[in-house]
Order: sequence, then structure tokens, then C-alpha cells
Amino acid sequence: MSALYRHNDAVKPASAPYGFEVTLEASPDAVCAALGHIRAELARHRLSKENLEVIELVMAETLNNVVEHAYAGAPQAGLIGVRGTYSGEDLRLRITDIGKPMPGFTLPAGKPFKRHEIADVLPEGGFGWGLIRLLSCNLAYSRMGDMNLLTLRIPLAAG
Amino acid sequence: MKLSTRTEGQLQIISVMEDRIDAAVARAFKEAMRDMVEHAPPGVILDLGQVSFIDSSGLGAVVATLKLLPPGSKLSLAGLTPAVDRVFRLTRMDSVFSLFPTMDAAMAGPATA
Repeated sequence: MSALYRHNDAVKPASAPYGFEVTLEASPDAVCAALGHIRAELARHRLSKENLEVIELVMAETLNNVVEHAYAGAPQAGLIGVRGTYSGEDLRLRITDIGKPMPGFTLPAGKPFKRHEIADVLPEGGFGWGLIRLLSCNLAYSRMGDMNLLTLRIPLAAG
Repeated sequence: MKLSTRTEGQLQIISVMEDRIDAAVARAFKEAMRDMVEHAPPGVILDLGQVSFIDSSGLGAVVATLKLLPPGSKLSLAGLTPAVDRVFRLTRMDSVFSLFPTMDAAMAGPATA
């Protein structure tokens, strides 16, 4: 699992504010490895289990979207940049890649979830943006030259 | 993808022996489940007690499993850890699957009816 991601940790204060920066290869395995690394780092800063789980889920959804869409069909795995800042009350994320832009240069709406009764009509995908929108706020997307820039804030529960 | 299956009476119990059902393994999960549930009895319980993380890809794979069941079979999910339970509830999939905190509760639940 070497060189799948690189972690730049110049300073490691014992508590908030805490920042991290990770560059990873755009592949499902590298996303999984990076998530494990970031979770372990954040756990050292006394984030609750619930907060760690929510952060991991939002990061998994955003990073896998880059893997599956921005770099879809790319001849070789691209890179994803992740910068996170933990304030104690929230985690701000800045995610960059140089894959394809979002369709229409705008964020997918993420359909609101509704109750389903009949299994045959259930969707098997499209849950990702719905989850991101439920668990984060201040979502913003911009295309800067060849780069996609996604920023968001994950509010964290006390304790 | 490690899964184990056993039959208890009219119930098929499939245990996921992994700690994650995520984008990296969703396809393998779905393929493994396809073989396991092909001749499933009316009641199937998916034991998720070892799974500490699921993402939207993993959720899609579990939903796909539901559609692979023979007509009339019911799928219950048992032993959901908090992170897994959260994903099913946020996406309102708790309206489709019967969710049980423990295997014992699942075995006494709707899948047995």
C-alpha cells in the first residue's frame, strides 16, 4: 500500500485547531487507505466516535465521486488533494482534482430520500450526494482552469 | 469479500466477515451475494455485526441483493453498528429493510413470519 497517498504533517498540535493535507491516487483502494489514515489522525484529537464516522462517510462519498466521475475513463489514475481544518466545532474540507468538470459546472442536487415500499423500484445508486448534503453545509464547487475545487463544512456534534 | 452462510430452519443467515462494505468492495459483495441467494428460502438475514463502515456504494450493493432474492423472499438486516445504521436511516432504507440491532431480534422478526 506504499505511495498510494502522501500525508504532509508539518505540525501536530494536541487539539483543535488541527489541519491536515493529503494527496492520494484516485482509486477506491487509495481512498480507503487515506480514510483510515485520516480517521486515525482525527481520533488522536479526541473527536467522538460519532463525529469520526460522519466525517469518514462524507469524505468517502466526496472522494469516491472524484474517482468514479471526474476521473472516469482516465488513462491512468489521477490525483486528489484533500485539505482539512478541524476547529473543534466543525471540519472544513477542500478537495481538488484535475479530472473532468461537474456536469453543467454545477453540483449535483442529490435527490431527497423518500420512503420506498416496493423493492423492485429501488434505486441502487445516487445516494452519495444526498448523504453529503444531509451531513454537510456550505457546499461550494468551482472550476478553476483544469481544476475542480469542492469546499464544504461538516458541523460536529458536541462531545 | 468474505461471507459465510448457514441455514437455521426456514432461515438463511449470511454473515459478512469484513469490516467495510465500501466502493472498493461493493462489486465483489454484490457478485458474492448473487451466488448465495440464488436459491434462498423465504427468510434471509444479513448479519452485519462485523461491519463498521458502509458508504453509498455499499448501500447500493445491499439494495441490489434485495432485488436478487427469489420472489417472495424477505431480507432482514441484523447487528447494525451505529455507522451502518445511520446510513440506512438517513437514506430512508429503513422503510424497505427490517433492521434489527441483534441476530436474536432478527430471528424472531418479520423474516421468520
